[in-house]
Amino acid sequence: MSDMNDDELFDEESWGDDGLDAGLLEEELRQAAAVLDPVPAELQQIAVDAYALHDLDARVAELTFDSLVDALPVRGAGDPPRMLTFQAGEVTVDVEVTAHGLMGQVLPPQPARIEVLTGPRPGSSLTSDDLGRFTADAPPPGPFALRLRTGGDVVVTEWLRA
Amino acid sequence: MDRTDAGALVQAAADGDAAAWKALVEGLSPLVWSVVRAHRLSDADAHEVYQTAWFRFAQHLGRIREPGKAGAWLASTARHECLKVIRSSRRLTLTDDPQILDRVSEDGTPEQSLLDSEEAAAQSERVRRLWQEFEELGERCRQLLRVLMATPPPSYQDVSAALGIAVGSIGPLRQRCLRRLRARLEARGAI
Repeated sequence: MSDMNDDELFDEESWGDDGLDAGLLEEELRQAAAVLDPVPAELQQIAVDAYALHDLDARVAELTFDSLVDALPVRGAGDPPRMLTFQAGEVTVDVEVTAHGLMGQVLPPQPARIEVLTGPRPGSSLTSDDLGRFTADAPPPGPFALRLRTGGDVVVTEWLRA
Repeated sequence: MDRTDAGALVQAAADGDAAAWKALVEGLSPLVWSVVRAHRLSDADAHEVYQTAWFRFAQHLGRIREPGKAGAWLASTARHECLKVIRSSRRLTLTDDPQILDRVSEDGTPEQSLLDSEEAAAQSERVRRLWQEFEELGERCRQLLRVLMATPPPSYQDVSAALGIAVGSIGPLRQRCLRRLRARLEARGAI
């Protein structure tokens, strides 16, 4: 994202008939966008259906580390794994996503039932071992979240795109 | 969508009102889409970022500190996801603008049926030229105008969240960018 305040973006010319013209042109653009580049209907329907993801019983595990943002690139590593850490209270979930799949660990170590969500519909299920480790054979195809049940507790990781 | 409306709808949706959620999607979906489009992602990435923003919004519903600023929340979330896509550049491909221009003849949208008369054909051509000149503006202006043209018009707070620019600079930039666009159109005899 570049800074918009540089170069010659400010100048001393006046708009002429100013505000009114600008408003009309912007309105024309708005109408053009509605015809030429509207929100795809099927995509908007997915957002409507996403209401099902509203889950009052679950605690949200927030993203506290993302290698894409927080790590320096590794020299020579062509396609480094995406490393993510989520945290909800005392529960930490470490996740590593590669082209081959997804690996992770629940801390403190504990068996958990884990659902890999990829949208409003039910996802695939995994179980972590006694050390809290879990794996999936394929990386999530798009946005994903992990829903973990440990004892009576439900934790869902923040949605993101791997 | 104004803050009072957004705040009330977020509250109602958090309390279980599915119709309120639908109204939020309808009111703020074009803003989220505009943010994604402003960042020139591929179609596949654009769809995923749009979904991620809405999934996360649904997940945080009821925990959002300032429900009246739902538009800014979504715009900012979409922006950050766009920047992550751009950062992992192996997945970055640019949008093919000619495809967008072709959509006017492909889609059977309600708007399209309005364009079916001869008189409307001239209007359609005008819209096409306007869009072409817009697409050829410098990157900063193209980005700002793409967000500003969401329906309903976004507040400057929303635009600020969408693009990471100060609220106070949006007005002057908007004037400047629209002036440039008008100059281009005049130069081509399109107005």
